[in-house]
Amino acid sequence: MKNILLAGVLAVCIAPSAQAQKFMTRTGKITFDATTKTSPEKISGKNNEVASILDGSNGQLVFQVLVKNFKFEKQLMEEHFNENYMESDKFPKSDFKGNISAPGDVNYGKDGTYNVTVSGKLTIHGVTKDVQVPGSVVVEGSKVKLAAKFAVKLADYNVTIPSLVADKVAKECSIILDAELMKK
Amino acid sequence: MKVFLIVAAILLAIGGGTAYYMWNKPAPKAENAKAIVFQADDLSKEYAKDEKAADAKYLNKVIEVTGVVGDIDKNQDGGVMVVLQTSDPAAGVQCAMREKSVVVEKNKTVTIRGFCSGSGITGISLADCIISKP
Repeated sequence: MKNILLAGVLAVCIAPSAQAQKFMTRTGKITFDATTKTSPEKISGKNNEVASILDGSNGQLVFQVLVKNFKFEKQLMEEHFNENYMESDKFPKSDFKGNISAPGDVNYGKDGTYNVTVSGKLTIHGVTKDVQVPGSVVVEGSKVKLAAKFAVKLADYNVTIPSLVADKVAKECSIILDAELMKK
Repeated sequence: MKVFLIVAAILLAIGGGTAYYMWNKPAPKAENAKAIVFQADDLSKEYAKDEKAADAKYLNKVIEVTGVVGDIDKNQDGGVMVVLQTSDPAAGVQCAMREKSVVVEKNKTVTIRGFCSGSGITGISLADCIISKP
């Protein structure tokens, strides 16, 4: 009886710590670059308001960006990005929903650096594709830093480049993700 | 012939000037547009009720929203994000401020003006914001 009680008390004590491994941010950063050798100038934008939620108990990860929050040096480029390429009035969000996996388990309760694979569904411009990208997870106290770099083929997501500028915009753009999530 | 050259020169100047202006076009500013006025909670409720309808009405429009500062975050480039509280703790109004030097205090009521970017998993987002009433 005493053992059952003890087990009960332990379960109550341990359960919240397992459930409390949620991390989030509203200020992650995504930078994309679609510059080619023939581009008249750098075609690059960044979004500093990337939202992300990570459940440390099972590695489930969500990233979401509001397309209109991508900022460019040139206002005209920003307008073209929103109106002609991403059609952000029609598709205001892009997101990723998936899982973080590592050869060994990632311990979100202990400081450490892990090379991980992130796999799941990436939705851009209303098109959803399965993706798998390498990345890194750094656990630092109550913070989890996530970083990844990968490429996206614009045609895979039905983003069409007008023929007039076809050689000036990269068909495959590079995406750099950098986010610092805090324990909730 | 002379007239033709003058007309061609004028047209070229207008064309070149327009192209130059377009290329260096300044970003629109929240203070230069008429704003749709909201209490933070009302904006949040409207998005919760029908996101698509709210997007159709407010995306890219200037919104002026009044609420209590719940959180102040810094982004990775040093930019400031002020989060105004709503009755839904998971859906504040996230205001990405235009100036990095902006000063706001937690738990104080402020009125902020910015461009609506839509609603996401952590709240409703306003971009290029300015403090309209401290």
